[in-house]
This record gives sequence, C-alpha cells and structure tokens, in this order.
Amino acid sequence: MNSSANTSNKVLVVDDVQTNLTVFAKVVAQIPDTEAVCFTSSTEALQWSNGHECVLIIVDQNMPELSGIEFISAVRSRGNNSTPIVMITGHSDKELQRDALKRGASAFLSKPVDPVAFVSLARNLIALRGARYDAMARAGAAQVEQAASADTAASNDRTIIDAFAQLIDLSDPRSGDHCRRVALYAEAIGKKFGLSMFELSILSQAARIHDIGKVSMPDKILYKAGRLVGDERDVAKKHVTDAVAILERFTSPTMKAAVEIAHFHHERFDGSGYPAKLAGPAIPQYARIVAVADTFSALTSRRPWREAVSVSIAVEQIEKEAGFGFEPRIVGAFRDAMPELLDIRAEVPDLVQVGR
Amino acid sequence: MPDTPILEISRLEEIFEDDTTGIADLLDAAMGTGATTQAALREAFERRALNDVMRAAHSIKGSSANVGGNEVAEVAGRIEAAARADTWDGIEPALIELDAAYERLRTAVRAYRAEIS
Repeated sequence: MNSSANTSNKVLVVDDVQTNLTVFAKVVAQIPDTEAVCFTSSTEALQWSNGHECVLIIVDQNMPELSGIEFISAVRSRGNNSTPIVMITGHSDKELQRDALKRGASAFLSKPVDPVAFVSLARNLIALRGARYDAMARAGAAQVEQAASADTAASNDRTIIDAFAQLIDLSDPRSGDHCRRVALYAEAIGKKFGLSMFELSILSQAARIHDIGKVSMPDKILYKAGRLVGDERDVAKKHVTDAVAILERFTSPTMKAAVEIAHFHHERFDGSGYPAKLAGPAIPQYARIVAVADTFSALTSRRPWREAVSVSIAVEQIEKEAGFGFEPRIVGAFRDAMPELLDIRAEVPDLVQVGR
Repeated sequence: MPDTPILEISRLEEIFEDDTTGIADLLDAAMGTGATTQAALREAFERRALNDVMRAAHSIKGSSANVGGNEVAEVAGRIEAAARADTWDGIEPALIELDAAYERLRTAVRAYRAEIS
C-alpha cells in the first residue's frame, strides 16, 4: 500500500500497474483535502476497504486477482453503498459498463485519464457523497430547523443532479444539450399547465437527467448514423431501466421525481409506450410533461439520419398525438407556452455536430 | 517515421507540474514494467495463448498511454484488437513493430533524462 499524505479524506486507488498508481496519486493530490491510498493488489485493497473509510474509489477493470467489476460487487455486497466508485475502462466497453452500473459503479473514465476531467468528476462525486451523508445526518435531527433543512436538502439535490448532468455531458455532449433544453421546455410547459412553484422547482431539476440511462448505451447505437433497427431499438430502450438502476437509491422528492421521469418519459398516453405500457393518469405527471418537451426537443434537433424539422411541423405532429401519445391538457399547455419555448430554443440551440 | 508521437510529455507535465525528476523517474519505472510485460507478451505469443496475448497487450497499451508512450500504445492496441477478434492475423508483424517502438521510446526517455539533468 502507498499513501501519499496524512489528511482525512482518503481516495482508494486500485490498479495492478504501479506507474498508473503513481500518476493517479499525483492527480488525486490536486483535489483539496484528499490523499490517495494506492494498491496494486485488488484483494489487499478490498481487505483495506473493510476497515477504513474513503470518500471515493478508483478501480481499474483489468487486474489479475479481482477484476474491477468483481471488486465493485464485493465492496457493495459488504454493505458499502455510499462510496462512489469510478471504474477505469475503455470507451468501447459499453456492455461492461452496463454490467458495472448494475453492480454499483458510479462513473467511468478511460486511460489515459485526463487530469482535468478526473478532478472535476472526482470533486462532484465526493460532494455528492457528502450531500448524502448530510441528508442522513439531517434525518436523525428531523425536528430541528425544518425550513433551513429544506433549503439545504434542495441544495444537496442540485449537487447530485449537477454531478449526473455532468456525467451525461462527459458521455455525450449532444445528450447534455438535449437534457438542458428538455428541462427548460418542461418547466415552461408545466407553468402553463398550472404546476405550483414547488412542483416546477422539482420538475426543472429532475428533467435535467431524464436521459441519464444513456451513459450505458453502446457507442455503436448512441452514435449510429442512421435509424435504429430491430435489436438496436431494444438495446436503446434499456436506457430508461438503466436510469432506475442508477437513481433508485436516492429518496428525496426531487430525486424520486427524477426516477419517475427517467423511467416513464417514453410511455404513451394511450398505453402503447415503454417500458411498462402505462396509460393515462397511471403515467406520473412529471413524466407526461417531459414526454412532450422531449419530443419537441428531439423533432427540432438534427439527428444522424435526418435534418431538424421546423417548429410548425413539430407543433403539428405533437398536436396530432394529443390523446394518443400525449395527454391533451399538456398538449394545450405546450401550445400556450410556445413563445417561451421559442426563446429557450434560441438560447440553447442544437449546436453539437452529429456523430463523433 | 511513425505518425503517432513516440513520447508525448505534455499530459505528464500538466500532472507533475515542474517536478521533472518525478516525470523522469516515472518514465524509467514504466520502461522497467514495460520490458517485463513485453517479455510476457512475446512468451504468450510463442505459446500461442491468444487470451494471454490480449491481456499483455492491453496492459502495455494502458500503461504506455498513461506515460505518453503513444506509439507503443497504438501498436499494442492493434495487437489487443486482433487478439480480441480471435485472430492471429497481423500479430507477428505488430510484435516486431512493438519492439522497434519500444526501442524508440527508450531512446526518447533517455533523451528526456539527459535534457533535464
């Protein structure tokens, strides 16, 4: 084991190549108040993690003893669900990433790790962990200063959502822009629909990560320069259930809304959507609103296989779907919100080039 | 001359800042580890153990990219890709390329050490 300093916040780094650890230790040193604890042996690292607390775990996938995925499974199976874990793997290993997410990985990086991206991601994940600990501490003192606590809880939710939104951006900048637009569109539609300020605050935050499940989507599908066919569509549809696997551990109202939206924004009002074929009011209200916002953003943006359609054609298509794909009252609110939607479209345009 | 840089030091300079001795020590250590893994790769090839070839090539790719040995990483990546595709096609000539790329990297590392001393 190598430990670079004696500060309180430990970052556990596991990689069987010593020179990789040397570089990681240097990069970790750029995060304030942290020290790297490095192991070339994944079994020794697992043993260490049993008796020590750390704020973040970085683990390589390809190792001779326990692989990265096996290490993550072992850590989670021992009841540690709070420490974020970043797995180092190749961009092309999307199936592996999907599996790792299910077993409890929090994020991925590929070698050679970009120091700026790493420090940014690590700081967000550490803040996210801190926010969850704060939330648990607050739960123990629930009767104290409720109003102030609510403000802090909202701030913690924002921290968590910021971290996940950044993950989406790092994974695919085009999805990041789309998520930003959808959140703003949904808020504008929700306002015309008559949501309260509290509900609008939840919706505008939660909708920002409605496509978080796409971080585990294979590149060949995410960046395909053509329409998805057959099995590809089935794989793409998994992003809604993958999102649940990522978000379900969070329990605040905003994060519960984020789970509902991510899970059900592809349901259709007539029950012909996915993944659960929910219909009408059985589809959570926030997801019904985001479905309209998501479709408007998608139709008016370029796709690898088509140009963006005009706003008037997009409106026409959405109105045709009233009572079929979308709740008629929400389509009415969408129409009423059109001036605001056009302003948002101008402010957050579809700038990212299609494909990589 | 190869298109991919033999030794790209800028990322390490970003991480190590002005600790040039730290960079040189890291490069020396990487050369030592690389020689061991290179031997393991050659040995796996002689044994016709494709899975071990893939593992060793993957390790070389990751560890050399980590220190800016981009040409070595690129050649090792090709060997890994072939092994992952379950074919020996192209692996033997790539191993010869890898030997040459490693030699150029060692020369570049020695030059860096000389430059900073």
